[in-house]
Amino acid sequence: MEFGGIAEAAMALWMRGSVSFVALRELISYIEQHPEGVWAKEMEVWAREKARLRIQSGKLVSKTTVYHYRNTLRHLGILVVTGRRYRIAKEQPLVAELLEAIRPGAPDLSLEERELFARFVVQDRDCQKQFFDLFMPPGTKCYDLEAFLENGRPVVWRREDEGIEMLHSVEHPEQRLLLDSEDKRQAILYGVRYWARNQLRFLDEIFLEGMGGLMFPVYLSGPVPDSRILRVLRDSISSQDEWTFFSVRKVAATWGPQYRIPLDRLYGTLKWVYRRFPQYVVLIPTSESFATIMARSPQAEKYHLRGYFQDERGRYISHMRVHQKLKEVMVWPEILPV
Amino acid sequence: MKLRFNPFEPAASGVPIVGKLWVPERWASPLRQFLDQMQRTQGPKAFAILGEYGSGKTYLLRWLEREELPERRIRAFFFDNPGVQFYDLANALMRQLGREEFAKALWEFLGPRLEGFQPSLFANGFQEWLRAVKRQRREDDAIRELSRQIQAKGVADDEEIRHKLARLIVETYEQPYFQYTDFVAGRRGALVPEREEAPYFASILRALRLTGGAESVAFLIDEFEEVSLQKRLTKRQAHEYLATMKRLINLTEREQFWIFVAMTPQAAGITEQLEPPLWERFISQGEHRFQVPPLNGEEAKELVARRLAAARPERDDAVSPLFPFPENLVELLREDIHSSPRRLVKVCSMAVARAASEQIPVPFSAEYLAKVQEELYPHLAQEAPSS
Repeated sequence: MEFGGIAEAAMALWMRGSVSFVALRELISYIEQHPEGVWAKEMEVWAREKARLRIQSGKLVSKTTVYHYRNTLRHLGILVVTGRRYRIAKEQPLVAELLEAIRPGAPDLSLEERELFARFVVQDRDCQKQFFDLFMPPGTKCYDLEAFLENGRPVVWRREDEGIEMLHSVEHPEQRLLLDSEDKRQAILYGVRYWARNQLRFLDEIFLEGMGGLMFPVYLSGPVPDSRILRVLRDSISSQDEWTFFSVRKVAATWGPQYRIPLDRLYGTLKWVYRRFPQYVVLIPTSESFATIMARSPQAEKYHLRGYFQDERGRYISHMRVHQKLKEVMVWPEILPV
Repeated sequence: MKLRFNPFEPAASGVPIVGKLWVPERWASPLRQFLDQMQRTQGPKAFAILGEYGSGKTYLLRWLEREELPERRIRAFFFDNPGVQFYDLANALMRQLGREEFAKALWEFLGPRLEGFQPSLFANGFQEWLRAVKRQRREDDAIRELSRQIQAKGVADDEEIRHKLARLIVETYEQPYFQYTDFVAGRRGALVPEREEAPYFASILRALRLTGGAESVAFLIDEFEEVSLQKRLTKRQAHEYLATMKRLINLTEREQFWIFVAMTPQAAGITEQLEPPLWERFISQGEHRFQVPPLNGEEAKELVARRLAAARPERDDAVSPLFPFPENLVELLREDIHSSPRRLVKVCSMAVARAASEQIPVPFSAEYLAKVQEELYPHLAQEAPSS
């Protein structure tokens, strides 16, 4: 599968990691109060002087950031431009649904808000062509969030050379994308990937030495403990050996994509088992330095560590061993039917 | 309690000072098999012992050092936190030996003969020989002669290495001990030739083998210093750790040299990922690695009984082997406690220590043992399932 010509790609690279969906929600709410539409300048004044929106570092949003906000909303089809005024595309059913759901003022997005924004992002043709298509089985033409979560397969990204990153499907390595420009990097690696992973949280990622960052679709919500993880854990316990050893990261890299469960819920489930049955679970910590041996910067260290299970004492857990008896006791009718 | 002393260490990080060390047969057997198999073959003799913290890796290495290797005429050196660089190992090794002892043994093995020396001047021994060399300002001659003998007796071929080893002997007169900087190649006055650390190290190993009358030399490396939970390893150190491992294992291919490295599962995993050729050396001929299995009930019982036996005032058949612990000790302890040697020993240590000062009835009750294990390893509060 080929991914776009140069000109086409450049046109489609409007996604930026600096775009906050909390800020987008506030902006939508402001523009909605002006059915006749809002000028770009008015939007800037509102964002910088009235709402005093801030970026992650705490700094006041710049004019460029406000530009990226309205540009994002326009590309996602939430805003339309009529006579250089921006207004909400209320006539679109999904936009109307979003307007119903948003609750401005909250510091974070609600689950409903996340899900609705995720729908816009996944359905966007540019986001699909630049990123999400890599996850989908070859030949998939049209899909939405549900189809992406249901059928999306893991994708790996890694740095090939200084300034060049490669993304490819794990199952279909021929489905690949080379990020060889800053524009692509900003739009894809730090734009749409960050939106999906960090803000809307329907994608998760774990760094694996020798492989790179393994990205996989995950359901936006679910219980902790997760009964599917409890069941697969129970089934993986050896009946022959008294103790079974697990590499926690291998478990995460396998069960995460398989059950489409994010690392925090997967690790939350393991933590729950440990807290409930400490006699049958031994957590094996590792040195933080070993965990980040491949990292070349503090940011990379943080990124590598996010794939680790951290226990209550703040230790990074690389392995765990589980006693055979856990197989017997892990049958609770309320969460894990036999 | 019928004990002369508390036979369980509170920190449980070392091994008993006295008595024969015991390890479960499930641990000893694969190691003996490896030793039997490799003692008669050429090629890398590297063995990885994998285990979590407190699983008994150190104990197993000490068992090899004290019990198993000497029986096979393998001269063992134990490295407890040697640091991560190659010269850290050389430094740790030489400090274990002591400069004077090593230089003297090598000198005796080489038997240098200097022309024009009165035999009586140095017939009395190493110190006298050194003094005479110094007094007569024959250091250069002595170094030349030693260097010649080093080659003749098969310790080293390389000229610079021979020179450095000869200097190591002659300069012992002025500095009878090693300094850390002696082994940092490139430093002024260093005893290690620059960019020749590995061959130099190989020569030292050869010298150790030849002077000690041993069949071979073994290094038992108990994790590297800062590869521990308490300290932070810099990126450079982490890579140096791997580089050191690689160079050591390279040495095992050429020399009669064994290496046993205890490491955590994660260290093994990272080594495997980052240095597959290095990792393969551990498994090139069969499974040259061993995952220390958690203790089973019988093994846990035997460990406690053996420790207690060493502390009994006299042989008393009337006392149960586990006394002051109850016969069903293992059933009373949690699985995570009795499967881990460190946890088991710590719990036993605290139980005995407290009983001695607080008049606890013996044999210990289930409640008392539960209290002790809970204090040391609290059972965290349970959480209800939540969405």
